Amino acid sequence: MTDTKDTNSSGEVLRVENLSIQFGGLKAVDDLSFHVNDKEIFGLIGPNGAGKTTAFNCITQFYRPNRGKVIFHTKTGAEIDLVGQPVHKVIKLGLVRTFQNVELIRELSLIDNVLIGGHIDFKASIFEQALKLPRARREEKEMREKAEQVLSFLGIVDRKDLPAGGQPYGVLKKVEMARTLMCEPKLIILDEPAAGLNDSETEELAASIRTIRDKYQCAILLVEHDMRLVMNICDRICAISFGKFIACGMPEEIQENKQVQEAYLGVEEE
Amino acid sequence: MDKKLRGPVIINRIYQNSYVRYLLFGLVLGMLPAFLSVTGMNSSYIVNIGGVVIYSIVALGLNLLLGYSGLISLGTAGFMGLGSYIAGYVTATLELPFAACILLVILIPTLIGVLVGLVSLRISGLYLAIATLCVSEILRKTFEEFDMFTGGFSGLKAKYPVIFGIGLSREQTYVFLVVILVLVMMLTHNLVSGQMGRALHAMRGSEVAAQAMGVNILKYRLIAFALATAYAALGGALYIHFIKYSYPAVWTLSMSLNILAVVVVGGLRSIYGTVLGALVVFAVPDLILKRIPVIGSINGISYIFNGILIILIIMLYPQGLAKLVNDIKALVVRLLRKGDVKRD
Repeated sequence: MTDTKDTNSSGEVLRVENLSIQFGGLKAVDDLSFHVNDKEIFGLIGPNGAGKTTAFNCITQFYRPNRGKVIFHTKTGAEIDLVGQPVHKVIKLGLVRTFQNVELIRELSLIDNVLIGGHIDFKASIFEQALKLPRARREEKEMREKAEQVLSFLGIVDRKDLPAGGQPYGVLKKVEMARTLMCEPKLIILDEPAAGLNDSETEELAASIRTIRDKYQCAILLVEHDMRLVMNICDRICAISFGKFIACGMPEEIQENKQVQEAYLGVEEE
Repeated sequence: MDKKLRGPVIINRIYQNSYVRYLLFGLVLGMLPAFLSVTGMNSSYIVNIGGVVIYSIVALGLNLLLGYSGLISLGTAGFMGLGSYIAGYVTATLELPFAACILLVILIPTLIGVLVGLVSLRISGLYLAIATLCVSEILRKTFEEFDMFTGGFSGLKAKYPVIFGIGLSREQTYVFLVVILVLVMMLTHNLVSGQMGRALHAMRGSEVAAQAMGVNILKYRLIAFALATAYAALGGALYIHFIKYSYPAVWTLSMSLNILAVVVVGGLRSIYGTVLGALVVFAVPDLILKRIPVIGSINGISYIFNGILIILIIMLYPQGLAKLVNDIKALVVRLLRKGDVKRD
């Protein structure tokens, strides 16, 4: 634990150390280490089946890693090893994620979907909610205003009362992003945000990821296939293949890295 | 011009308040027997309509579980029966006041409901339905065997409730039931429109996503089950004090299925729809079908009717009667608007 304390001064938000997880005989993530700095846009890339999403699930505790640490610097400034934390507690520490195939509730309006992201900030008990006592009333009002602000920041506030089912995919992606912003996170993890978006939507997404970082002062870790998006917006990139670390650095460095090219395009034989 | 508008605007604003609408609804429902007696109908209808009110309360609980949380239960009848026996025992045998009975009736079954909720963490879907059915059957067997509390096969009797020393008549009890229903509808409305309701929605949508948003699945499953059993037990307590008896043969699977039918027919996640569903499932067979000459004499006509109804609703209108009513309302509004445009 001593070494993590020194690095704290450099403004780290997440540090993954020797992360490993095995499914049967398959090492999906093998001794992976990297760190994400505060207010940084960090990309995790790799060919299909490289273990990106698995690594991601290990960080958010949907999977329990066999080995390794996931040190997270919380909103209050404490350092916590996320491994072993209950999944629903992770968001309270300031780490929130989105999903590859947008996970919204079709029957609820957009603003209600966003309000789910504020779940942990409600303090009123069930009884207070059932009787609509002052605290429950006030919280509901405050959170609703906050959700409206987030929606207008992302430019979709005019649709707030429409049900999520039937909205265009690009809008749903934004709603999911808005949902993560409700808890004022320190780190947002985006799981393939560009999946299913067309070129212009992807460009719009890149812009909004940057503005989110600037406005909400949080770090963003994205797991992504779309190379253009990654190279375009990331400050630093970590490339992995078959669960193993290959390289980590600035976008240009990664682009020129031989091993990365081999992992993506295959080794030239002869 | 302004003065002319102000009146309707205020009325409209009051009408927009959902609590006012629940009160109005309660008022209409409460007046129903008086209205029916004016039209010359037999006053025994009040028993049927009172039953509808009770089943509405129970079905609202199941709707929280099935509609909002996406968890199924076939144990409703067992918990309703449990509520009725506890209530009957407390007021008739122990001769404690009615308020004490309501408290105990909500407390004890809710604790058992929490236990079922714990079990539900391991299983879901069809298996959860089977497990809750087993709980219900165990309860029913208990009602038969523990005859010193339950009166065994011959059942337990109770009187109309005594509230603050005033013994209610049948008509007054009916009004009391409507008051309870309106209160339950309001509480349910508050619960589902706030943080808890959204958490239940999230849990139904995707447990993984719900957890990522900080929803504790264990906690909310327990809450959903506790609420559903509390509503069912409350319904049971009201049942024994309105119908005046409770015996094991009432609390069978067919009762649970009827409550399930109420939710499906009325509309998942609809409060008014649930009451409408209860009216259709429980009142239509007794009040209308049984009066029709040939059809009425068929044994088990209510089962046939409910079965056909469920099939039709699921095939043609999966969102239930609540959606149908809304669609009709929208259609009427559209037709009226068209009329306005033409006049211009």
